[in-house]
Amino acid sequence: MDMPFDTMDEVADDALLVLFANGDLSAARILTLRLTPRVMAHAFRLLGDRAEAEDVAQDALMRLWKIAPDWRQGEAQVSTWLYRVVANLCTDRFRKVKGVELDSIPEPADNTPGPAETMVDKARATALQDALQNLPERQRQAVVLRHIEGLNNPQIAEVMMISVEAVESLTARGKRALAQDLSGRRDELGYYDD
Amino acid sequence: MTDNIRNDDFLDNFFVAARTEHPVPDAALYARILADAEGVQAGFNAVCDTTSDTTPQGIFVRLSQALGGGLALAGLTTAAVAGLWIGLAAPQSIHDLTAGYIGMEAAPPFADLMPSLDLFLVEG
Repeated sequence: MDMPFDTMDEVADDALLVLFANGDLSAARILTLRLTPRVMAHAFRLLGDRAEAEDVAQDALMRLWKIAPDWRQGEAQVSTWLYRVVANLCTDRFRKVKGVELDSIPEPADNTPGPAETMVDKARATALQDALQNLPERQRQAVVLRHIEGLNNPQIAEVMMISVEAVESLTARGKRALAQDLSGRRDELGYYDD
Repeated sequence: MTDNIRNDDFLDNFFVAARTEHPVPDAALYARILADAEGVQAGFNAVCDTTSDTTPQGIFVRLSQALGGGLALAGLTTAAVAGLWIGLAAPQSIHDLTAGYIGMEAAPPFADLMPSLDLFLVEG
């Protein structure tokens, strides 16, 4: 028995996963639509390569589908679990990517800033991704989770299975290295007045 | 401290850009991932369907073996044997029970509907 499609948007990830495990076809579709962009974006931020990120996203979600029957609601967040799995999958694929192709970053929607601002944003995003690839793996993961995915330090500690103090240390060191790396490119990245 | 604040200000614009400028999945990726989901899900249903194919006769054979052989059941009353059969009901009926519960707004965890269900499925 499938729930009405329009009510599914309000259902939490873990509840949808339980429905999925019980054969609800619309839960499979909603979870796919909801989780794929998040997982792929996070994989891309860790790897810097679109094709690799797609593979990791597919692998990570395949693991989620398979453990769905064993999922216990309220014990962990699906997002926490996915961040951890993506990081583990990326560990095997980490390699330096010297520059990210601008083509791999999509055109923004029509209601975003004009062409000049868009080009600057694209350039900054590209430069940041390049600089992230130069960080040690765990610093990169901590900085991405904190400053791009928007997790707080306790949440990051849970994903990375370390202490909050360790998270703070990783993000501080990571940001110092990023600032140093990017400061040499201030002019081309729109910091004309600095 | 001052350097950290300057670094944070400097990096903030990069982080803001990164939050919006990232690859988005294309239709082909969605299709692959959904196909994976549906394939795995079909495997869940196949497990239920397979075990429901276990006929009552199969259950009784296993019951009698558990009780020590074909003649062991002869010593049980019909009601006792029926009770054993109901207690080890085929998982398909449990699936139907779950499907009824899934109609609720907040679907409870599958296994929590019958706390000993896992044991039944292992034993069954």
